[in-house]
Amino acid sequence: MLVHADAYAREQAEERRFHEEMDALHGTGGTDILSAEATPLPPPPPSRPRGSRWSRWSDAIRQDLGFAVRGLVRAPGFALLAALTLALGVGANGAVFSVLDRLFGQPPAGLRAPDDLRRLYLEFPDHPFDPGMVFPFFNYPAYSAVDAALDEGPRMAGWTPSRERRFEGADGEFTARTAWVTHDYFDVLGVLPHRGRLFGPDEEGVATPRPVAVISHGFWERAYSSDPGALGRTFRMDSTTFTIIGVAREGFGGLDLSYTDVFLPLNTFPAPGQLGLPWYESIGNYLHVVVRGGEGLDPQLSERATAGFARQVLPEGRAPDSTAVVLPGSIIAARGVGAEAGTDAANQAVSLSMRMAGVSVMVLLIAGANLAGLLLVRSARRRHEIAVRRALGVSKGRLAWQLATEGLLLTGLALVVAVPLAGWGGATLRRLLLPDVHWAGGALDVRAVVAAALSAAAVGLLAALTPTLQSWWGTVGMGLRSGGPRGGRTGSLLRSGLLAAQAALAVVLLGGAGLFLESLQNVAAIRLGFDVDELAWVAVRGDGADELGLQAELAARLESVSGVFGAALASAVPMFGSSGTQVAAEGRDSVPDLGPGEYPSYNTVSPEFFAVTGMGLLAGRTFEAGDVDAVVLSQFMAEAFWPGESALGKCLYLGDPPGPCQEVVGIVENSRRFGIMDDPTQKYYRPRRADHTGGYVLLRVDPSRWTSIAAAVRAETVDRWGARNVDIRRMPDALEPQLRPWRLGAQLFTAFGLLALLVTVVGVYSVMAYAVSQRTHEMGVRVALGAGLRAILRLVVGEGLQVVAVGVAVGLAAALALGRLVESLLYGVSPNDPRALATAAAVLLLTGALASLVPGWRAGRVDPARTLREE
Amino acid sequence: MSATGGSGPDLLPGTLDMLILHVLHEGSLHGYGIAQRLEDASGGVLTVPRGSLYPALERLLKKGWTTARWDTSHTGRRARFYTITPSGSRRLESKQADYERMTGAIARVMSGA
Repeated sequence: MLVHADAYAREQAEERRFHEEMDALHGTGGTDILSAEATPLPPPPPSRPRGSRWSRWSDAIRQDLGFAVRGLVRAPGFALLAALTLALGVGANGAVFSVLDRLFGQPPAGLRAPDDLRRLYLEFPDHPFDPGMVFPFFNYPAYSAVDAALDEGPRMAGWTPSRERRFEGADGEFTARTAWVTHDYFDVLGVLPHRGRLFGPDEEGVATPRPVAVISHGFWERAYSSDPGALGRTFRMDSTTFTIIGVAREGFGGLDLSYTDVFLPLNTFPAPGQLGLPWYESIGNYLHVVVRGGEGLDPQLSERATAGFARQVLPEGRAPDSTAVVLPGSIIAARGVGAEAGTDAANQAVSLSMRMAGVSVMVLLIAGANLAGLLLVRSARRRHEIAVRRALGVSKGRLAWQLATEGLLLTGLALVVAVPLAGWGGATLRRLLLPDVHWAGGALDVRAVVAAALSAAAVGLLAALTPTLQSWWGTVGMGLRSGGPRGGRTGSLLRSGLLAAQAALAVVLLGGAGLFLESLQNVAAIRLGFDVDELAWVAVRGDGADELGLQAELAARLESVSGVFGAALASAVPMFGSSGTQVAAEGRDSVPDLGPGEYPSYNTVSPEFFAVTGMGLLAGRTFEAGDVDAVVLSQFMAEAFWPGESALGKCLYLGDPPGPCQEVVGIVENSRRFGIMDDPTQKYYRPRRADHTGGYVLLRVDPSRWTSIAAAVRAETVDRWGARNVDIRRMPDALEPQLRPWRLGAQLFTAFGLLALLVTVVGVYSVMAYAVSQRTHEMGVRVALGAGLRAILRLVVGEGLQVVAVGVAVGLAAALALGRLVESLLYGVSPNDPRALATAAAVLLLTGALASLVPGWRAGRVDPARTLREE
Repeated sequence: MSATGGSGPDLLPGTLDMLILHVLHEGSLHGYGIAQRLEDASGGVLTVPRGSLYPALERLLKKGWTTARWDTSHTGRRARFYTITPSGSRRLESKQADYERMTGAIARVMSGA
């Protein structure tokens, strides 16, 4: 009957499997303790060796470490997953830390005793628009008045924030970030020369231009290849030729967040003055101010400086704002009074960085919870072993230490991955978040590495101790008895709790990503009053640029460029400049008050302007050739001047004394003054006359062909005026800096959200895989009883989803509570936006289900006979 | 043949074969069923470990005292059912006689002690 030995063996095996299944099904049959999973036992605890306490300790540590290493080598998949998870979290934190540290923690490089320096700000408690406004600029009359008031006390210096400027050198044209500084700037800051000399008394007189230049060490390296012969070389800006007299010490690049390449004496500052006065007697606010030697007496410093400010001499008998207060603040730009960082965009980037810190801590928490979950799973697998060792007399403390050693080893592994990750991430964040900021040193400095190591150690140790704490609750007998299938209830609760916490944090981060994406969409969709994508402009400077009829001729030539749909002339580009004058209106005793010195702004335009910009006509008509005393108003201005009635046909009188009647012939879409987030402004358009010179040629272009259009436009203009006098720009590029913070917010939150999702999915997968592996037996029985793959999948995925769903619910509640923290960074979307939150919840549930699918599928494919035999 | 239950008493040699044949005398059964019947009938005293049961079943099969066929169990799973043969029945009868003689002897020794 039994012909082949193989067939015989197979038959026997199957028969026994059946028996086992039946045992399992009915709960009959015993567990043979001898057949339980054979786990290699660790070396027994050392019998107290003689010798010093230290040698005992080091022996124990070496032993634990060896034990931990062997344990991890035996489970490389686990080790890899755990280390990678933690590395992601730590890397993200290191990256964000390196950015924040530069913004908030470190003074600009290259200064002597930076703690002794203070920036000065102006506070206007009674400002008509913005009471309590803090302003970072001083005009020169105020600067010199304050300087005089601080006489024999703290020393003061000023500088204009650095901007890109074009120069013409011996080898052609170049751009460099340039600042104009007072003669004692380097002296007050304590900056030493690397070569040559820096500014001094020779550069003092503000009215006497002295065309010399100091360049930064970085610029010297970059532009002059560190050539000592750079001293004495010259470059030109407009009609002034500057001679390089010195190179500043290495690292120093000014006090702004952006690096300054070229320093020029303030007396060469090319700003136009007002009312026929030179700039240094006008009220243009140009200067940032720093003082040395406040010696911590900020109130006194403030008092003296404020008194000085009030004594400034202003043109035309204007009085300085008597309510203004001079406030000392930190020289770390991002920590300045009112967190001033130069521009609104930089401000937003700074506050975004702070939110990123919170977000990256969340990612770290998720990673920590994940690691704890993985370690729990692992320790649950080793319950039996642990119980045996406890029974063998290993103390609880020693056991805890051994478990912790493994966690710390994993942390070390994670750090190996995390440190380069943090360096890369930090560099990326810097480039994205603050591209113009000068970063002294690489992204990965000692502080960032230490911060990463500390955060990793904290999280890793906590995670490593979790199973230990759990094991402390257990008793020896419990572990030995239940070495089998049913794991401890506390263990599974803790695992589920950790998993739910990860899901909750991931929901918060993904919800945040959704909010930022919606904000970005909303901001990008703001109608600015003209067609942004199709608008480009050309400006010509230099000799002959004011030639009569030049712009018209240029416009006619550019109109024929392929891809250009039309050309118009305007005195200003929308949102990039405006002029104003006093306005009176027919039938109105007064016009809407915009504040002292504020008037509605105007733009003088050719008739094609409205078609070229795409600015929509709402009533009346736009200009025709031959219009002289006609105006077109923005809707906002029309409604402000003639509320409740039509402005068409009414008269506007411009100037002081008022000129002739300018008839309102049309009303067009609202536009904004400078910022895309600004409110609509009072704006009107006047016809450009044939005798107008200067201004811009606006082009309506096919955006998809911009590259070739720009090349053609350049070719048409450059040979006549030279490259350095022609400026060709596109509106979308010009507005990009304003959109960037929104885009960044969306990008960064999305990146961190996805990172959180990834870590959470790994967590769900590993915990479900473990749970299923612990229940292989049960699954085998279910399969034996006829449960199909679908039923098993439903079971496993359902259980995974339950945990994730609890986390999602908690996460939604947390997101609702945390919403107000990001509210100021959102636009047109509530921080409790149901769409963003629902999407986040759905994504998490879906990926949670997917992550449990694989273990579920494996469970469904369990070979019941084999699993039951393995029992 | 010595068979050791997880917690049950030692069986006399050859007793397990007799018990199996006895159970099969009432009808065909698979190995698991035999083990359960033995346990039930003994009031839980006799637990037959698989390591003893299946060698015993194999032995009975080889001696021709039982036959085996694969069939479907009531749970729908394939199982090997054992049936006692006429020679198996004869063997059971003779073993039963041996057994009674033996237990009687033991009982006498124990009570007389």
